[in-house]
Amino acid sequence: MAITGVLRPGHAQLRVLNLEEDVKFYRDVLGLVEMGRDSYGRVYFKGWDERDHHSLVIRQADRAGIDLFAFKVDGVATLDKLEGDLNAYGVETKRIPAGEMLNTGERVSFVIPNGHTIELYAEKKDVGNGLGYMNPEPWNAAAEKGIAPTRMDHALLGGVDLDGARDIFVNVLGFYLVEEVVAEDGKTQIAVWLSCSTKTHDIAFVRAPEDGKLHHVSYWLETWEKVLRAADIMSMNRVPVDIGPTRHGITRGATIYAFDRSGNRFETFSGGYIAYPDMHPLTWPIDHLPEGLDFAQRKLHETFLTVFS
Amino acid sequence: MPNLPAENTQRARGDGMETTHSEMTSGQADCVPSFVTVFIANSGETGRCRTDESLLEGLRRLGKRGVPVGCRGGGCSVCKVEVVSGRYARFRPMSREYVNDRDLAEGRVLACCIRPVSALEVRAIGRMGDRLAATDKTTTGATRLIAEER
Ligand code: FES
Ligand SMILES: [Fe+2]
Repeated sequence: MAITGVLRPGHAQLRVLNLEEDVKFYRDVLGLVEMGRDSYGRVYFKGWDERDHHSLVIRQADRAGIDLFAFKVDGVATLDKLEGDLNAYGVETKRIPAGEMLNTGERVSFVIPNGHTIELYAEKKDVGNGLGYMNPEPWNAAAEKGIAPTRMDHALLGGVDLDGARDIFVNVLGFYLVEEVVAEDGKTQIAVWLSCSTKTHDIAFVRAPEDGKLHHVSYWLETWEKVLRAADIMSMNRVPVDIGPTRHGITRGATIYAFDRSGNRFETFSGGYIAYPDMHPLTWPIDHLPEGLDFAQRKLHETFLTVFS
Repeated sequence: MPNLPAENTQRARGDGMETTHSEMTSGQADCVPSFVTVFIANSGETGRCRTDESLLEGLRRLGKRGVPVGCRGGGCSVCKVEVVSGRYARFRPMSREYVNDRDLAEGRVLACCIRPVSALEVRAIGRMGDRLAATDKTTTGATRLIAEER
């Protein structure tokens, strides 16, 4: 089946406590490409291999966390259709005009039951990755500056009503369940990994005591070697690391969890497997969370369930 | 290192501390770090912490677990402490979601955003922190925590 409807994560907008310090962090340490600033003072970034204008927006605020997470859909007709479907499902939506975000078309914005603002949009300027569309070279200097993930890959969002959030993504937006962590009762989901593609996840949700909480935004690296290089760069720059480098049992990704300068967690990862919608979901009972998170050490990292921004 | 100018020195206004221990001098070869004693009331731990890095980093370096370690960037609040006695300096912004004006005035701050200036006594008051420290550190504990919050 071709990928239609919701295509992929498009952008995250984060709040930071000291804008210039985090601009330096995201540009020089994480190695995203700085794409510009808007009249609200927001700063735009993208991964070096991404072709659309931006995938991360940060803004100055007096508290950390995430404002919104957005997905690109395959056209304006799909945007209209999905908005209708959301409304029919009882989800209120609003339209944000084209241009409110640089080089971005009209967005459909809605709040899901775990307190997160989600957006859909169909159009964002194709600025290219600098390699051209004819006879391209495989990479350029930007691929080696800082950690230099190729793309923003997914987010894990926390909130109380995981079920309500999951249902909208599965029943309305066409996502499917890939993996889950379940409580002692064998039913209650503590965390879910959902895909709209053949990635192991395009979004994940974790049950958290407070709504609207960011667990992490994740960035893709091509190899485990590059994950280890990322760990070196983090340590050289005194980036606070949470977990890793290790391999997640869940989704099999090779990973590092760490924090930006404002305490927003991010992940740099590679690997995993190819998922398809017809595959049986994988289940991790909560007592196997230690190896689900850190397969190498099989050690519980309690920060996974307690530290959010 | 954070590039923020130091904010007010709490309970130590006008003592000139910031000029003697600012980040500006930390790269110099002749800069010898000074240490103060920090007592964590809830765990009974004592540590000798540097005055030129965050209180949380100093405790973490020593393996003292009485104050939980989270984001180390002022964004998550698990490291929130009440400073019972002693002087400290705020050197980076704290998320106002977790620290309001009254907290600041009464010495409830994020341990990752302050540096010790004199000997300190602190008590961990992070929402997760003291409860996690008080319960077993198992997955069951973590699930229970979630269940209680629901
Ligand atoms: S460790 Fe997160 S606020 Fe200090
Ligand atoms: Fe992730």
